[in-house]
Order: sequence, then structure tokens, then C-alpha cells
Amino acid sequence: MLVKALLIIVLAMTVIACNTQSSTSYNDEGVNQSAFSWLVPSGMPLPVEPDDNPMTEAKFQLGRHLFYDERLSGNASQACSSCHKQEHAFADALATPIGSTDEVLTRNSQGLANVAYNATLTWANPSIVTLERQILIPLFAEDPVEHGINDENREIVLQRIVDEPVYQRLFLSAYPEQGGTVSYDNIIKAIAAFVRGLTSFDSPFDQYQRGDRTAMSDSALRGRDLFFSEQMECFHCHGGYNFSDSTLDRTMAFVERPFHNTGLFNIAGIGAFPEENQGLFSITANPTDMGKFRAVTLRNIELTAPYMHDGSVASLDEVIEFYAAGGRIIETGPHAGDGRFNPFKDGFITGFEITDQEKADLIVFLLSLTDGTFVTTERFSDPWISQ
Amino acid sequence: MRITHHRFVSTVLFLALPSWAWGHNEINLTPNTAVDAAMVVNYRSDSSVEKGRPWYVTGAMMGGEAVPASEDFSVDDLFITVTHVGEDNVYGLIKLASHQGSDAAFEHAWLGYRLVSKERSFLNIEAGRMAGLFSPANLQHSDSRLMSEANLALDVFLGRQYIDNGLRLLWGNDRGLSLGVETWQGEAFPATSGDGGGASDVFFKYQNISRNVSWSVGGWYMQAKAASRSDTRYESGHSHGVVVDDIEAYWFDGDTSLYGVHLDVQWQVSSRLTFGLDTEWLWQKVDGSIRDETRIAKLESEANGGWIEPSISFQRHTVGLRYEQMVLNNEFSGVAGEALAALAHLNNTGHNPTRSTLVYRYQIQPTLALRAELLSDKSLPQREERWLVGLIWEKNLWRLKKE
Amino acid sequence: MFVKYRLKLIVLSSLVILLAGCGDGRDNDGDSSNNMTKSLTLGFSAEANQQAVNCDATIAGLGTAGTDVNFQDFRFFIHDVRLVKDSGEEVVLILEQNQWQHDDVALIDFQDKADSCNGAEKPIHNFITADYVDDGSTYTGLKFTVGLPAALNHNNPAEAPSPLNITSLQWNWQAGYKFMRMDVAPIGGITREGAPEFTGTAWNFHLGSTDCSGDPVIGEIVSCGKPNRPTVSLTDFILGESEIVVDYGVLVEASVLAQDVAGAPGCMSGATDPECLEIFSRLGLDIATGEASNSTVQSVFRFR
Repeated sequence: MLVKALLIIVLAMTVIACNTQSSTSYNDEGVNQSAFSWLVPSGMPLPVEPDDNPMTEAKFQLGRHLFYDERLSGNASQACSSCHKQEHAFADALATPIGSTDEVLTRNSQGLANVAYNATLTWANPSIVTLERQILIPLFAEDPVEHGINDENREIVLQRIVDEPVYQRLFLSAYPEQGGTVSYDNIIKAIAAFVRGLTSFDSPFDQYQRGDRTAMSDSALRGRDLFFSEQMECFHCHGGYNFSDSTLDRTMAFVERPFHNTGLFNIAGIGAFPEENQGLFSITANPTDMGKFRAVTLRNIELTAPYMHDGSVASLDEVIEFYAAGGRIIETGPHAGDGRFNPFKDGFITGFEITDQEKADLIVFLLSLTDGTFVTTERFSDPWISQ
Repeated sequence: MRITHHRFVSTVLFLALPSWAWGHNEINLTPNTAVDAAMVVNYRSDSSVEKGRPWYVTGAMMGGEAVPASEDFSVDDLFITVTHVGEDNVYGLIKLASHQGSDAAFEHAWLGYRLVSKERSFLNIEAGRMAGLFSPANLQHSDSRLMSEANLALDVFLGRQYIDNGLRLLWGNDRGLSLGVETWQGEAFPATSGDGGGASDVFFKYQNISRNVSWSVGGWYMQAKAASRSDTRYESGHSHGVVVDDIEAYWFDGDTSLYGVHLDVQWQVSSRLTFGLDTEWLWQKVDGSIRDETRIAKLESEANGGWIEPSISFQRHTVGLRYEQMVLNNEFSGVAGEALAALAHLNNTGHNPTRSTLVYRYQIQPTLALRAELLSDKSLPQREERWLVGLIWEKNLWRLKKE
Repeated sequence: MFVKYRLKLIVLSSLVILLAGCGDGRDNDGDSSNNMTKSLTLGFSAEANQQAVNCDATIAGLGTAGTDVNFQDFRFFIHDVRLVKDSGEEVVLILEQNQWQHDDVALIDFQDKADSCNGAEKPIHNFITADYVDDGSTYTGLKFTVGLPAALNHNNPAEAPSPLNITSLQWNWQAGYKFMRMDVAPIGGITREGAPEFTGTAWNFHLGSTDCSGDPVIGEIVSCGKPNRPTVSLTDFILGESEIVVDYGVLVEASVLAQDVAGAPGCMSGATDPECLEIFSRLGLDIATGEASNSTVQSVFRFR
């Protein structure tokens, strides 16, 4: 009996002694394989790369040249960079931009930091799910006219690109298997590759996450705790590594495309938004989609003022006041109404109490999301200037 | 002296197994009704995690009620048990329990019936809400266990204690052998109930009591199925005081297999001195998929863990040492493997959780004991030391025995 | 001996009968030499109030207010064109593949000047050429669907073959194509009641699938809530003679072209746009669902 007991003791001790180390292994089916060197920190998932437009450095550089090229418009006066300026994190400083033929757009120009991670593109459209699809809109839109490329001038515009010697080399590098054909499809894919490569993960917030305990001030840390608190609920729509709930990366198998009504308008008390900017409703015609827009990333938000889909909120201070009130009251005019009672308003916009100190801390936190490298790096800058 | 030592042995054995488990494994069920109560109050110098923070042993999916021991004063256990053995071979047990200050709940509520009663063997059927009988350690709480903190392997693999709604068939003979099979609804970690869920196990135990040595050895195998299993320790409405908002939810679908072998030896050297050894080792295999709101990956795990616990009892003093170790291996397939591993705290790159506990216990009276413990806890990557002082009170409040 | 002779006779006559039967069978086998592949041309004409639609025309008296308009655009896609036999059986037309016709889609184009009728002259295309398998039946009907099939509606427009590469017929904000594009400029402009600052010059009808959503994981459109594909079924068809008339006057007969109540001026297929209701019902579409209407059948297309 005792012998049996001893044997079992020996067994147990053998198990302990011979035990190997714990381990975790991954067979990721090459998810991180890419011909492109993304400037994304390790541990952060990579964006999706479409099968028909894999990322390459050559396409990125070609797209960069096209992005900053005013010749890529009907009257040769507008480039993508006209409304997407690097110093503003690729947004602009206008409430709404103006097209190449002076038509005023109805929606604010969004910043392009990490737009590769957007589940849908543009402010409120569940059908624009790739950059390639989105780029068609500014190039070819008729109402309002943006770049103003149409059936009449598209060949002329294309010829300008063909005639530029710099492009001959760039198209050949980007599309060697096609012999460097200049076509709209190739142009769009290159611009998409450039924009997809505009990644931003070097803000003080990111540095703090990676271990630099000096990167964020105490005020910023307090603001961070407020941001992620149940009191403010900011993180519900602006959470995750990209501060937006409409986010997609290549490790995801099922994706939401959320859109939210935050109570900016309530025209005639029936929840209506101004006719030209009714958000998701314009696409779906579903009454409960009135005024729903995509929650944009808050990275670099300091630089993309004014805010909201129509640029109608001027500063971060006003933004916080707006959310604290639970909606916006418009006293007079054709858009009068109390947005706090918009029937389609998202359930998380309930308003909250906030002291002046807390508001200041929250703003300092939002400023800590500004990535100084992103807005100054030569890699994303206008290549035509340096030439 | 003799009387004392017999009483002492029974006391020790009483400590090792709850009375009802001891009682109904006998060939003869003696009709009686009893109400027992127990309470354990501890003071700890520290806790393995900060107050309000969740506890994850990196490398294993956790669940059930495996929450870390509390810092400061804590009523770790408080319960009342009512057992009844009727004259008609029917018996039952109800236990109302509160752990670490939680609300009292019916932890056990089950009925048993002796189907077959022969001179030398019996067959029982038991059903209700009960703890799995496959491992003796599964029946222990900090009152009946030498150490105050639950065994790490049980915490990780079984969510501290496997208590579920189920059915059991138990066969035993007068030579100390018992065999059992249990089938469960799956309301306990690592199973889930409903479609795609459920659990079952088989076990055997051999017990031998002679004049100086009493020992038991046993083995068991359990399989559990889960569908959309989440870590219910930290969910809204049931969060053990942890702020759950920034805890990202994940779900597991798949099968868990567990098996274990255990040994318990009590060697009474003299009337005053007893050496003891208690050890159990568990192996776990997991095969399924893990997902969060947007990602999914295939997961295969192999893990093992257990403890060795030698002890010495001299008169009213007992000193014990428990060494615990776990090895956790996980294999992910799919593009989302790394992201999900990080989210579910499964990315263990070489740290084997271990823990050593040194305990001293002094039986002040038959119903009251004092315990002091010293722990060196390396279940998390940072080594932590803490100590404990506590009181254990157990009493049979009332007994009615029909002769 | 007599028996043997009798037997031979039976065998011989059986063989003859068999051969005759086989011979008959072979004749009745319905061999494909009776079916021939033939070509046809189907012509279209566009009119409003019995006047031909083109860039130079001014058409008077359209809609309930009798508005006068100039045209700016008049194009539409059709697909899945079929001949209908008098038995009811349908014969699919295989379209000739050229710059106006791709797969089973054809573009019918009456806009004879570019740039919303302000630019240079451009070719129109008011017929389709196709092959079909003819078995000698009489054809009494014609069927087709307006627009592009779902399988082609969401492909990459930047690399699409002609006629799907025409920018002004792409509908990028709905990730698809304009199935019909009929733009007019009412003489005297467009007003909106109660909104004196509203200025509009074009009353545009753009038909296409709406309420489309994509799956970001696969980067493609997965479904459109409102397909908006009118089906046209015409009877009294005479092969070689019948011409299909597209009547804009019928399309807008219940609309007021000099006014817009809400939404985009005209109708952009918005399910809640008041101007779309009457137009959709004349196309036999239920505006709320984007499917065929239970109460109306299209009246815009007819035979001359």
C-alpha cells in the first residue's frame, strides 16, 4: 500500500519535473504577409488589403503623386489634397469644402488618418465599403461637382497624366505586368493604395500604451479615464484602437457598420435633419435612419476642426458641451428644433454632468491623440514640391 | 488515549471529507437528520490582484466562480447544510452557502435513492443540484480543506468547483471500491447548458482503511461541451465587484476533456503523530473556436496542473505544504489568433503558473480552529507573497438519529 | 417444310415492320436542323406628347401643369430581353457584343449631344441587335427588364467594359448604375412652395437600386433593399415590324415638372421623395419596396 502511494508520488513529481513550459502558438494563415511595409506597431492588426489591389510601395508612391496633383480634375484646379491637407491630418479647416467649379459641398471633409480601417467610407453610406469605390465619388460626382471629371473631359484629363514624364516611370513601377498603362482604374487603385497607407499610431496616447510613462500628463490621464467611463460613454462609439466603432481590420470575420444620430437637429420636432444632410436615411429611406452618421476616428481630432458631418460645431469645447447637453438646441431659423428630443437619437447620448476641470482634462486627453509624426512626415507629404 | 486518537483520526478525516459524503458511501445508510453549519473568516495581507480588477491566469480560459481571494477581512465561507437520511433508502441534502460575502444561495439541493442494497454492495441514484463526486477536492471548501485558497488547477479548469444540475449513479462495495457515472445539464463552467452543451463524467475510487494507514486513490474522466460560453465571472449584474465596462467579451464554442488522478494517504505513526499526503493531477484538452464580436479563430489547448500537499499532524497542530504547478499550451489557427489570444488572456509565452502555500492549523476546540498561512504566489508573472490569519468554525447544530 | 416457310415469312415481315418503324422514328426525332439561329434588330423611339425626344426639341404641355421642357439627357439600360411565343414560352435574345451592348445588357441612348445636351454632337443608339434560336414559332410578345442585373450593377466601374464605363450613367453614391437617366430643363425653372430661395433648373429622373449595403470584410455589395428594376411585357408583337416607344409624357403625366415638393428636384429613386410616387407607379414599381407593384403595370413602354 505504501509502495503504491510512493509510486504515485513519484509519478506526480515526474510530471512536475518533466513538464515543459507553457506556450501559445499561432498559425495565422499568413495574415500579416504583405508586400508593403505598413508603419503599424507590432501587436496592432493590419488593415484589409483588397485582393484586386494588393499594397505595394510603388503603388503608394504613384498614388501619392496623383493625390497631390491638381491636373486630376476637369479644370485642372483641384487635387485630393485641396480638401485633404497633411497639416490638418488630411482634413481641411472649412466647415464644408468647395469643389473645382465653386460648388459648395454639404459635408465636412474627413481626416484620412487610418482611413484604411474604416468599415464604410464617407459620412453615411453602407454601400461604400472600399476606398476604390469611395474615390470614384470625388472624381466623378455631378451633384455637387468636386473634381469635375466627366464623360466629356475624362480623356483630356487622362492625357495630362499620360503626358507627364514623372508618371511614366511611376506607372511602370506600379503596374509592371501591364507595362505601366495609364487608366482610370490604375489611377484609382494607386490613390487608394496611398490613402490606405496613411497610418497614424504615434500619438502621445500610443506612446503611453507602448510603455512611455512620460508621454501623457496627469490631466491627459484623467481625461482618458473620463473618456472610458460610464459617466461619459464616449468609448461606446469612439472606442477601440482607432477610436471609432466603425472599424475593420484583416483579423475580423464579422463587421458592424454602425451609424449614429447624436441629436444635432430635430426639425419640426419630428427628428428631421436638413434635407441635404439626412445621413443614412438618404441611402436606405428607412425613417429610423434619419440623421445617422458614422462615428469618425478621434485620432488627430485637434487638427480637423470644425466638427460633425456639416462642420457645424466649431471647437472641441463646444463638442463636449453638445454631448453633455445630450443634443443641440437651435432656437430660430429653418432648422430650429431641440435635438435633445430627436426620436432617432442614439441611446447612449443621454447627456452628462461635467465640471470645468473635467472638461479641460478631457480636452487635454483628446489633444494627446494628435500624432505629430503623421502630419509632418515627408513620406506623406507633397512630392511635387520637393521635385 | 486510544479514544482520543480515534476521535482525532475521525476528526482529521472529518476535515478531509464532508460528513454526508462519508456517510452515504457506507453500506448501511443510517436514518438521521442533521443540520450543520460552518463559517470561515480570514484576514489576508494582500490579494493576487488589485481590488476591483479581474483575475486572469494567462494561458487558460477561465470562468465559473474562480475569483481571487480577498484582501483584508473576508467571510470566505458561510453555510448551513441540512442532510436527511430516511428509513426508506431515500436521502437528501440542501446546502445554503455564501462565499466571500456574496448573497446566500442554494449551492446544493439534491435527493438520492438507494436503488439496490445488498449485503456487500449498493447502488445509489442521486439527482439535483450537486457537486461532481469525481474528485474529492471538488467537494472541499476552505473549511474542510487544509489551505484556505482553492487549488489552482480546480480554479482554472473547473471554475473553482463543479456544481451543476445532474444525475449520478454510484456503485460501491464493502471493500472500499466505488464507481460512478454522472451526467450534467451544463450550467457550470467549462460546459454550457442547452443546445450544444452538457457534460458527463465517470470516476472510480478505492479506499482502504487499516489500523495505521488510510488511503484512497482514484481517477476520473470528464467531457464538457460548450456553445457560446463566456467568462461569467465578470458580466454586468454578476461581476464580483469588478468594473466590467472595459472587459472585452469573448465566447468559446467547443469541447473540453478533463481527466485526473488523485491520491490521499494518512499514515498514523503514533497516537499523536500523523503524516499525510494529498495529491491530484489534472489534464485538460480543449478543441473548439473562440470569438469576439468581430473575430473568430480556432483554438486547441493542452494543459495540465495539480498539487502535492504533504502534511504533519501532531496532536492539535497541523503543518502542511502545498506545491501547485500548471502548464498551459494553446494553439490558435486563423487570421485573428493573435488578437483573440490577447483579448482572452491566452497568450502565455513560457510562464508556468506555480504557487506554494505553507499552513499551520491549530484545533482550538472540536468546532473551532485557527489557521495561519504563508503563500508564495507565482500564478501570475509577478511573484507575490501574502499571509493569512483566520478562524474556522464548524458545528453540528442539530442531529436526530433514529435507532 | 410449310412451317419453315411460315417462320421465314414472319421473321422477314417483322424485320420489314421494324425497319419501317425505325425509319419512321428517325424522321420524327425532331432534329435540330429545324431550329435555326437568326438575327434580329429591335428598334426604339423616344417621344413625349407625340414629339420625338432629342437635345434640340422643346416639348410643350408635359405633366399636370402643362410645362414646356428642353431635354438634357435620355438614356436607359435594359437586360434580359426575350421573345414570347404564342404558346407563352420565352426565347432569350443573345445580344451582339459591341460598345453599346455587354453581356445581356444594352444601352438605349437618345441623347444626341454630349454634356447634358450642351456639348458636341454624339451618336445615339436606338435599337438592339441580337441572335435567337428560332424554331419556326410565331412570336406575339416581347419582355425585358429595365436596368442592370444585380450581378453587374456593383462591379468596378473604373474597369468596366463599354457601355458600363460611361461616367454619367454611374451612380457612385449608391455603388451602382443609373438604370434610367431622363433629365429635362423646364422652361421657367423650378420652384418650391414656401421656399422662395429655392432655385432649380433641372428636373431629373434617375432610377437605380437603392438601400444597398456592402460587407466590409469582403469589400463588396451584398444586397440592395430596393432593386427598382421595372419589368416590361408587351403583347401584339410583330417580329420585324414592331418598334418600342418610350413615352416620357406618360412617365410624368401626373407630375408637376416646374415644381419640387421635397427631396432632390425630380426623382432620384428616393423611397420617401413625393415626386417618385407617380413616376414609379407608371413604371409598375412599388416605391416602398422597389419590387413590382401589385396595383399598377408599366405604361411608359408600348409598341407603335
